[in-house]
Amino acid sequence: MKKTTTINLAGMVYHIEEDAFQVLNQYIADIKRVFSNQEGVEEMVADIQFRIAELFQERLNKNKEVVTYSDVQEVMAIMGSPNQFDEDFEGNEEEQTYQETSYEEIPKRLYRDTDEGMLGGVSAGMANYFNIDPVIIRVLWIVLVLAGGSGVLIYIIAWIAIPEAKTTAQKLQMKGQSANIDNIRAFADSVKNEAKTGFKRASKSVKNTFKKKDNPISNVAKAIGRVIGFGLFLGGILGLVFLVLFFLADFNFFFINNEFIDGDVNSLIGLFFTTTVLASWLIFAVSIIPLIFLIIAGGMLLFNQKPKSRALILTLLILWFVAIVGLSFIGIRTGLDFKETYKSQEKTYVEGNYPELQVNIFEDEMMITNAMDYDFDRYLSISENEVKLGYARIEILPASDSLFYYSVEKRSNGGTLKSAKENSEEINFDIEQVGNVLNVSAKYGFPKKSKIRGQKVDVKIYVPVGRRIILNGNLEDYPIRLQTKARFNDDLLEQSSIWESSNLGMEYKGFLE
Amino acid sequence: MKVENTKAQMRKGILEYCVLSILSKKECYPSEIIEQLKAVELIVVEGTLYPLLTRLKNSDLLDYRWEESNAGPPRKYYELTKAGVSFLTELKTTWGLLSKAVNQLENKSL
Repeated sequence: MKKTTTINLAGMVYHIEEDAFQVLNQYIADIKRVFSNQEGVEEMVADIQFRIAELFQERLNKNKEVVTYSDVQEVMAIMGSPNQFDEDFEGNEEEQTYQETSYEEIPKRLYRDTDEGMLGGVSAGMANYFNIDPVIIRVLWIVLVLAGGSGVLIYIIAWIAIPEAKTTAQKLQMKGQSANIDNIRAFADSVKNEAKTGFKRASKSVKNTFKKKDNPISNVAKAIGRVIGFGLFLGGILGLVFLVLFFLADFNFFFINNEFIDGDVNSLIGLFFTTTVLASWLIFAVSIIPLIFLIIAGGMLLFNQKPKSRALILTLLILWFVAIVGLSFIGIRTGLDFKETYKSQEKTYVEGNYPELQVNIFEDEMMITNAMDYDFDRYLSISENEVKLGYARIEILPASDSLFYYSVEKRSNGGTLKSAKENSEEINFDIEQVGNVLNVSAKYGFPKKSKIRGQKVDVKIYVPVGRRIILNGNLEDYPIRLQTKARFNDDLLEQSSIWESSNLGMEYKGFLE
Repeated sequence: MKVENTKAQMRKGILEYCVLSILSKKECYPSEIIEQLKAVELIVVEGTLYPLLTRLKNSDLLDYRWEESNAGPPRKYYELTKAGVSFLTELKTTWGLLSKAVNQLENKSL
């Protein structure tokens, strides 16, 4: 079964097989081209078409209504190639030179080779142009994509900018073959043979018809391509599994840039974005689509196969861009929520007149006795309603007042000053005086709904000159510092330490026995 | 030097003469001319005729008229113009001289 098309040849209607039509069309175009410098070429071509119509007529009858490919071949053999017409009688100089040029290799043009291509045929087309194996170019694309993703954009631009080789003539030109009738016939024959056997892709044999010998470099390239393909494929699958697990499973902790984060991805996303569900999906899409591409690209290299559906790839690509745009949009909106900063400060005097004040730091209702090896910079934990973000910074300094006092500064960002203020007011931080002991909680938190908006808590404890302060526990790595005369040395906090206030700063008095 | 080329050159020279000669007997459409040329093996591929006809027509040696055909497309019947007739007469003389010359040379014993 073959598809046919209808043509008007010399005023008669003929049903003709599509491949036959292609060849015939090219044949006539070729005649026009060869005789283009002769006066009255249109009329001559019309005459030839009359003759062809006649020859078709001889081949059609009641039982055969369609002009077949072999009919066209026969007719073309009878008529001869345009170069043959020429050769038989054209003797003048001009025609001779014309003939020579028509047999020369014509300059190649860059086309997209969609027969050989995996996606848009850009790589295959470039490979034709540079006469190298497409695998080499595909590997280069992947390197470009992995190195910052610029490859994606360049590929799309190339896809749009480079025309597709549609006609037989263009396909030949792409391969640097002159579109003369012999090449076209060879091309059409190979397409046809493949159509007959039907097993392999037609283009394979087309490729073989015109391909120069397989060279070792191309084989090496193919082997490298396979290895890289395997790597990409495996990497993509692993990435995909992890990504899905992160989003779907309830992983309660993981590491990002060596920072310990307590909470699953979805709640983490919810901490930043006001539109949590949308943001989750966008982030999911933005991260999963490249992995899918990685798998597809790897598979393509590994099995040297075209993807089954280009539409799928295009859809994914479009989705990816939409997701990136969407994410940028809500990212910018979220960023704007950091525009304004508000600080609230609350000063509290310690009740009673003590010669010395002890400071205990609590984390999760446990006093920190040994703060070795903690990364106190940005610890994040998420519970049902509250987010705990980091540790309050503590500074201890001398004061000219006669009473101990402390100030708590709560700081937050917000889209407006008002919302920044609201955010700062929502920060929960406990500091409590019990007798001569100040119990300070290490972490501060805020309700989930206020989102992470750069909340910070700074505690300053003021010690009257001449009075002492005792810092309990090993606080060497805790974000605490004392205003000292010389540079502050946190080795002095390795054990519970005693400090005395003076006009020059806090003075170290030794460890507590 | 290929014999094919020389043969083509020889055919080429007399092809115009033969076409005009055929048309001098009766007006023909291309297929008829082709038939006759093929019968005497003067042309190999049919396409050869068409550029020739175009050139002869462009030189006003030929003219044509259309005629309907019962089976297939209409036909274009070519005939000699006055100029064509005198052109042919001249060629005839030349051909006579040429063929005589060739014969004489071939049969002359040295």
